Amino acid sequence: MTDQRFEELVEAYADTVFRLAYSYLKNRADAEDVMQEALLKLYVEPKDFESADHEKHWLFRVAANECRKLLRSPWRRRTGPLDEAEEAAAFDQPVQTELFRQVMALPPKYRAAIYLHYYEGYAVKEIASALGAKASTVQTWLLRARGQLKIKLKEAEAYD
Amino acid sequence: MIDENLYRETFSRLRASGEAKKEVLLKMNETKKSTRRPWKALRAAGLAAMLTVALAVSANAASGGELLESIYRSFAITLTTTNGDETFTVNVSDGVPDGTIQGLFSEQGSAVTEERDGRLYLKINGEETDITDALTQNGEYTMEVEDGDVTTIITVQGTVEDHMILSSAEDSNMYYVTTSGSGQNMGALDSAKAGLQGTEEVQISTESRPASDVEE
Repeated sequence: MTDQRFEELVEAYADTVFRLAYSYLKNRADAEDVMQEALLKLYVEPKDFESADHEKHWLFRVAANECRKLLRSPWRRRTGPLDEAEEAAAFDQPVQTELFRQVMALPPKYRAAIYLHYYEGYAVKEIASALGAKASTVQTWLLRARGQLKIKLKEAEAYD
Repeated sequence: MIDENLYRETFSRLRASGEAKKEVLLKMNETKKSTRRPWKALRAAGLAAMLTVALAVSANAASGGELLESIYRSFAITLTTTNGDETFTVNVSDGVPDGTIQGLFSEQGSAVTEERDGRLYLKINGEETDITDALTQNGEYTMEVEDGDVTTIITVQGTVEDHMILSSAEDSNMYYVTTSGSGQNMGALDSAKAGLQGTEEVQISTESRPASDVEE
């Protein structure tokens, strides 16, 4: 792979892989590490991808795998409320801050599935393949995540 | 139902920093210079450094802390991991980044033992438990610690005078090991190796030799 091609890939995928990793890990430093790891893996072991979508899907799979390893690691950086507050401070509207807060309060696998579905537009089967889970399991994660978010966001609305 | 547009608008604000993007390009250049894949070595260095520190820490404690650096440097640990299509080997002596070492010490600080008046106490996050009876009767004491999304399993094995602490996240294939007594307790390494069960095949070998002999 040429340097220029790799730079293009970094430009194209760094943020999107970072978002998935952040959704999983809720920690900027760890998510950036995962983003770098996934992209460098692509550089070292370039594959023959059928399309850009295929390439992105592969990166998601590698990133999700790295995130799971990190979540199991005993020396993972711990995330405090300040880390989340720092990210939340970037939003203009309170409704965005609230959505971000409530999504981030979900379990990691729910957050990742929600990101792939609502941001990347992935179908259940594609999410299952990217996250290494069964389609039926992903369906359950999405249902539960939606249910929890509905209740929490309504509560927040009523409180306001 | 989640408002998809609102979700997209909100999460589009999450972006990797410019520094992280520059760093990945720098790492790309480093990759060309080295066949040892330094970013992977760094990941592996976590476990290798963990074991190095485990061997050094007790002797260091006995010496009041002064011996840590010299003892640490006297060990070289080679870790080889095969994980699917990945294979990497790392030699660790004084090549481990300071940050890794400090991070490990910080983790280690969350589970320590203290002997007082013939009793052994396990201290986790400031809370202490008298584990003398459990250790005497069963030779082992196990405790689960919940921390956010992760459950860490802390196991103390051995006797009041000579024991080790194994610390591992639930389902993790990596162990964090601390030994008491002489600090040369190879049994701790064997236990860690036995505990490293999962999809990855891991070989750990240790030898004591001057840091200057370790190949870069």
